[in-house]
Amino acid sequence: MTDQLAARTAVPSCHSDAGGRSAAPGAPVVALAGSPNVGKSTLFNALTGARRQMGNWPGTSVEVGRGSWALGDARVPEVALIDLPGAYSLDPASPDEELTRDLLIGAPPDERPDLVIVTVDAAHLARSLYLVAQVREHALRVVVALTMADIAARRGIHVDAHALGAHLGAPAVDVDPRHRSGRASLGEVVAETLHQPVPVPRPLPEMDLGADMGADLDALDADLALADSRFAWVDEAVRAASRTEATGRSTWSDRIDAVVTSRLWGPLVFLGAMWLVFQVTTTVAAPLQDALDTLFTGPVSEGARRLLGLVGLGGTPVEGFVVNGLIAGVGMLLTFAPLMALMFLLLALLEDSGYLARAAVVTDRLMRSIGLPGRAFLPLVVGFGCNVPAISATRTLPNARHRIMTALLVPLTSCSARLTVYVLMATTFFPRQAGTVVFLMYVLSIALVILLGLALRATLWRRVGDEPLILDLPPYQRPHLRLMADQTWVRLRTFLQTAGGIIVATVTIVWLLQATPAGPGHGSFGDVPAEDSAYAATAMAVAPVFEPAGFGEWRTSSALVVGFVAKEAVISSWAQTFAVSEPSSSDQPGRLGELVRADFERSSGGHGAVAAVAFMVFLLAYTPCVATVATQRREIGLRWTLFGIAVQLAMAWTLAVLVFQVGRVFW
Amino acid sequence: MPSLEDRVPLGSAPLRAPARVVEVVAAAAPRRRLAELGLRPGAVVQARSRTSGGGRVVAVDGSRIALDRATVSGLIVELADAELADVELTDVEGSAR
Ligand SMILES: Nc1nc2c(ncn2[C@@H]2O[C@H](COP(=O)(O)OP(=O)(O)O)[C@@H](O)[C@H]2O)c(=O)[nH]1
Repeated sequence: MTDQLAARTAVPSCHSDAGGRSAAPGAPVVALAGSPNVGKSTLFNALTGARRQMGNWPGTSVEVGRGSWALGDARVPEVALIDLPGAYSLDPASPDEELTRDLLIGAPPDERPDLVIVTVDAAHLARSLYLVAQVREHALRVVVALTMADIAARRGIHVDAHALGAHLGAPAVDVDPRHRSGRASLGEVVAETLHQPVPVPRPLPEMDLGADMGADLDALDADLALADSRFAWVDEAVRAASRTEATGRSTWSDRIDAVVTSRLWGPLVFLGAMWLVFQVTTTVAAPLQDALDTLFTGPVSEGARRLLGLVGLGGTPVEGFVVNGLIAGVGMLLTFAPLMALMFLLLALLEDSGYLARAAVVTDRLMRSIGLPGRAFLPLVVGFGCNVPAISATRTLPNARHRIMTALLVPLTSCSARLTVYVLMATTFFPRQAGTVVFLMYVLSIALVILLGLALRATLWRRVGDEPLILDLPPYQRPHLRLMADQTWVRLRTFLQTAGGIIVATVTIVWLLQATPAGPGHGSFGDVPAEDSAYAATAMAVAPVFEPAGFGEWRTSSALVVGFVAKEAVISSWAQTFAVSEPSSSDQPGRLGELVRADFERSSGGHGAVAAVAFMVFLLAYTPCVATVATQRREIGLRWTLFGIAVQLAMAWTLAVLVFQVGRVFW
Repeated sequence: MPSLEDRVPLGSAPLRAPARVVEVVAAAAPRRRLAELGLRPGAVVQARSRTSGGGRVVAVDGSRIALDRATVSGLIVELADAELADVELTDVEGSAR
């Protein structure tokens, strides 16, 4: 019951900061720390029952998760659990690690967490214990949660939790976050430790700091000596607590790595993987979409009409709002749920299997050529799902310039909301090559990222420092079905929730504008021909701007205007404007494509297909959505955000005009 | 005692040859990150494969770390003799993952 409540309320959405059901006031605060990829987020989910985004990628834990963990102990019924960003050490190399350090040791002692659980990977004991060494140097209660025992065992490594705890001066407990085992014993130990006094910090070795000359050099030397002493302490603990037996060597994962990261095959495998993803999301999703579309435009709209007729609202503005606004708009959004689910499932598969990290290696050189480290590829890949979390993910970049640059490039990665429009356009204008056309849009998206990157590097940031690529490749894993389903569901729900809210708001505004006459003599509120509405007047004023690009029709320019709010709204805006002017259209599935097609043929003077391509290019390059803008503002400030919008609009318009003017000569 | 000639950047070491890190030439921040990942003087490492950027996937302490060309040439190693190879190869490689 509690778990369910937490699950429902503690999901950080991609649009809001991490929330969560906070524990009862006065409950002890327990912080969860650990290096990236040690299973920390999975453990957090298992303990709180909260579901949040998980991934197999170093630095995924950008947000701070919060939740409440019922310990089941009489003295300490529950604690407030904070999931700190992943950090290899308390010497920060990124804003995430900085946050972890600040939360753990930056605050005065009485504001620090009551206890820190450091998640430690049994298969990589030495590496994960460095953080423990550092945390133990401060007045903090520490409990070690030992994960990945299964992987360690496969490699012939056995870790004795008891011996390890004794050596570290902090109890260690075996847990298996994926199967949710070890929760109870971890809870017991945490409750017990909370009742103990704060332990004495581990003494630091006496450092002989030479008095005078070269204070800087001395500080550096002292730093190194300190690190060395920690490594020595860690090595001792490893020796005392773990035992390695020789096992038959199987290096199949190395063989896979040799192929998927190689010079020749790496990029090919990468492109192949991406191509497959998009074939699946176009050809497999299409029939499901069609079925849902038929359901919404047919029976659902019909039922609503009949219902409203029964209560005497038939033919009123209310009916228009419900049927042509809510049902057409939100229904349209829902028809894309299968597409999104497939897309998110594939992304989860790529992340969980470990391939996504290899993709970052393959793209490192490419990224470097535009002045970005390979790590910047992470936000850019995430951008293909949704730009909003992608921009938050730029926090994993330690260098502020890299962050700004990446955040400016992310909007050019074609998010899945844009995919819905490509699919409609491609199946309408190029029914036979729809998959290829959509794929080419993604190739173009990548090309634009590179071009803008190069342009930024050549103009604004000539001396972007090169960051070395040092990337820990997580082991290949058979993806865990339940975790994948969880992750897909969370992402899908987040998509529907956030996009749904925006859609309803947009549809309301659009419908209001449509119901309002543009001036006296054009009809009354709620009874105005589409062409005479305030909405049409606005759109018509904008339309001439798009004439040189071949789509200067008011319905399309108005779709682009609401597309600024959310790309999901482009199609619903069309559906709405066409439904208003052609009442029969919402009764017949598939009509929308035809109407759009006729519109494009008209506005382009017979070059409908070329105009469609120009339109898709514009759609790809201009500002993705208000949520992206809002996130950008938070991450890189208002000025850079506005700069980004200006660049996007200028680029989108120029490219679209270029495509149309050149294209119509040949086609 | 290996002579100085045996010291090579890991980037020039043959693939799969076990080697011991003797020096890490890198700026302070990346050097610390390398150390945290186990790539520090004394560690036994092995270049496993070449990556598309001219870097290497390096095995250390059972994990695989992808490094770019510049970083990999800053890792100065001495090539281990046959004895070391026998003793510590299992350690470096890990196994079924
Ligand atoms: N085999 C195994 N995999 C685990 C275990 N704990 C977590 N994982 C997986 O390791 C990966 C990284 O976990 P995650 O919680 O995202 O790591 P974080 O970066 O520390 O938050 C995920 O694919 C998990 O499913 C474990 O005990 N054994």
